[in-house]
Amino acid sequence: MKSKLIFSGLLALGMAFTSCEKCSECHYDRNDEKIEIGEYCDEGLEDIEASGFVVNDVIYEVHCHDH
Amino acid sequence: MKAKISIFLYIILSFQVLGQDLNGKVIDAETKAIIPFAKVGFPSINIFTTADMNGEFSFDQLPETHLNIKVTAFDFKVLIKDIDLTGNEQLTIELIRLHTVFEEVQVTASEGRIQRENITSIAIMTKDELFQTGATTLGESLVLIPGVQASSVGMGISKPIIRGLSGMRVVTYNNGLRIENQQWGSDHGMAASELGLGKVEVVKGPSSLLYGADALGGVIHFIDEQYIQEGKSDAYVSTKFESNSMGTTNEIGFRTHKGKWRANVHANYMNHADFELPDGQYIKNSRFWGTNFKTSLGYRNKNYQLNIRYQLTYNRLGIPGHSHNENPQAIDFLSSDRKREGALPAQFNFNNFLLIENTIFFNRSNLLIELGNTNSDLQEYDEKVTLPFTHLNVNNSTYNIRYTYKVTEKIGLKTGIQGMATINRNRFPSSSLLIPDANSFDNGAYALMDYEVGKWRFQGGLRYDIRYLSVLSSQNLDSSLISNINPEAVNRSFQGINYSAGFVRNSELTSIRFNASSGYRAPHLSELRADGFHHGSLRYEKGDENLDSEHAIQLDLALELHFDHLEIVINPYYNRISNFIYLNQTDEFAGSFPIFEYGQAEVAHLYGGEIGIHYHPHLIHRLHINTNFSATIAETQDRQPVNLIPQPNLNTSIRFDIENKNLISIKYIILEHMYFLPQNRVGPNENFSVDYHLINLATHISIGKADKLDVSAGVRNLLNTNYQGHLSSLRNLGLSQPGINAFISVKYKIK
Repeated sequence: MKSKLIFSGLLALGMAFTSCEKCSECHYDRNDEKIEIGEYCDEGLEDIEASGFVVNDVIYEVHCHDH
Repeated sequence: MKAKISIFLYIILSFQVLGQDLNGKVIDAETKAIIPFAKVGFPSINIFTTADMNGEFSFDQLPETHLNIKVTAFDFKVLIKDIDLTGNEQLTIELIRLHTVFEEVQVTASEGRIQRENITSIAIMTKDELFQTGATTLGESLVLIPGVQASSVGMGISKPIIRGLSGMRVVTYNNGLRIENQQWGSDHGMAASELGLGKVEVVKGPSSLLYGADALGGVIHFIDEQYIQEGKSDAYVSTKFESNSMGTTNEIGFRTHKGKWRANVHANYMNHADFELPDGQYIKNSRFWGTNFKTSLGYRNKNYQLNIRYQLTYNRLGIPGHSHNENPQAIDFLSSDRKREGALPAQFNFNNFLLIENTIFFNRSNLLIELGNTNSDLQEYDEKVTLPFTHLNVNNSTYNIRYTYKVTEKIGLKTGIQGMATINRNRFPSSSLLIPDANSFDNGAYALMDYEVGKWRFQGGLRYDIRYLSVLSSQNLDSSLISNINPEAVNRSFQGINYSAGFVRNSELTSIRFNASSGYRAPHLSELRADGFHHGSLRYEKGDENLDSEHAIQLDLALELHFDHLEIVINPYYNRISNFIYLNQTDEFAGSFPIFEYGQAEVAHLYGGEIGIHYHPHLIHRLHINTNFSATIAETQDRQPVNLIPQPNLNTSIRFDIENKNLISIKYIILEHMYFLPQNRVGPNENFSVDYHLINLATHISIGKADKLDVSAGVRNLLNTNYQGHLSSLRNLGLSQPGINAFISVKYKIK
């Protein structure tokens, strides 16, 4: 019984500290038009949101939605 | 420093030798017959016991001081009286038999007196009363308290409104700890949970004297559930399901009391999907989930009492009706599918509250020393998943030292000092600042005296407060971060001298109460420094760094009539606020957003009142009919109505207590009707609201020996009424409030 409890505890801790992959669909706005740029995940998502999307040397702010 | 600590410890320890044992008996005042199983306790030190079958009870290690004793027994009038424990070792309590059973009599935390003996206007409701018809959140349940309403952003975010005032004008206390949680924002909800809650006290009107600055509208005081009686432990698990949002709330709790130590521990988790409108559609992103943990640890040794209270809250709140579109339409916010998974925009709230409460009892006095800290972290995610739009943290450290002295049998004195240090910081990375970084320091000193003679009780007091506000410069930050604020540094100080004076006259049949009180509120950071878009409120806001403090004076009168089968309470008031700060819509636009400027009206007049009736028909003692009416009218000096004043409302409940003794025992059935009258007195550019009716029906059943299993079930908004509510932010988008909502709640007592 004791070992089952310890195993369950370790399993719960493992699940709590294991993060899932975070992905989102992203777009930028140009001339009142929403331009979809596809799905980004984890660090790629963080980078594109922070640095924006470059088209012809113009940096556009990127919006990502998880809905 | 060592010497100071030694002196402090000596003071505490030197009083530990003065414990008092008390034995007593509870009897019928008329027949002198024994009353078995009466509940006897001292509310101010959270100690109670149950008399045995011979009506006898005992306490040991009580402080040698004056305390209020509270004795309750079924079919008898509740007794609350001051007991001198310095000489009393034997006590005979005589209770007066009643042939009607009114509600449980509550003792207020602020004054330690029953409601009708208080000089200020205080309403009290227990958690059981607030949730007896299955309210989803604590905010929603507060509308049952006369004079209190709530504004909302969907189901997950709600803010209390007392007599028409809310936001920074209402101060929230949690067991004596002042809560600061960015309450200036219309979409920043109340940081309180029903978890482990015992009761809610609402002080209506300016309440600076005991609670400090800002409380021009009043104070909402959340008080934890009592500790269990000595030598006992109990535990429970409970679950609740709600059909409208497919919401669940699961909770566990444990209480124990062994010797000098006692503890309560509670935890819960709630999860709600998008809520459903009466027409079957769903409000997008109205989903929310959260978890709370609350614990109290108490120690009591003769003349010393310690309570350490800690609460942790983490909530993820979807923000419905949030849009960056220039012309949002209602259809943009509706869906035919219900969803639960996290979506943007959303708020993430993480709150930690800690209070250390020490009380030392002397022969005729006691000294309360409270030290507390609250930390509220708020992240708002808007258009980016990994980068918050704004990330605010407010840390508030408080102290409260109060000395209560019984000068003579008729004269009492409360005096003390109180203060807080509030540190507002923006966290990075984030996209924008909504308010600048700032520090503020509050200090106040007060004295309050009361005098009792015959049926009269008089009270008067004075308080001085000073606040230093230092707004830090944000000019070194990237210009994109400071586009919504004025980034310049500013230092201001604000002072206030406030008073409270009043009387109450209590007789068997009537109570008359009058109180005049004042309060002040320094302008908030957002009112001084805003200069940009606030997407949550769909407007551009401009602050004014020259705003002055608001000062309020309230006159409050109450007449209560207490008959055998009928109670009537009439409580009119007038609250005059000078330098009233408000948002004024200008003719200008920034893009498609209207520009609002903070301004000050010379004076605002708020008046209205509450009327309550509680009726027991003589032939049906188990029937309770309660009705109360609340209304507020608010206007500036040129009779211009003030924005966002709640609709007048009439709440009526009919409750039938059954209490049969079968294995399955129906405790009560309650039918509640809430009528919200039209709001035709609206501010500039504010829309009128139509009236609507809501009906709720609920029952409470206990199953098994010792009521092991409690089941509550019912339906809220039984008629599936389509309504918007004047103070719902979704109303501006043409969106309604939740439709019919069936609920069932099951609580199992483990021991």
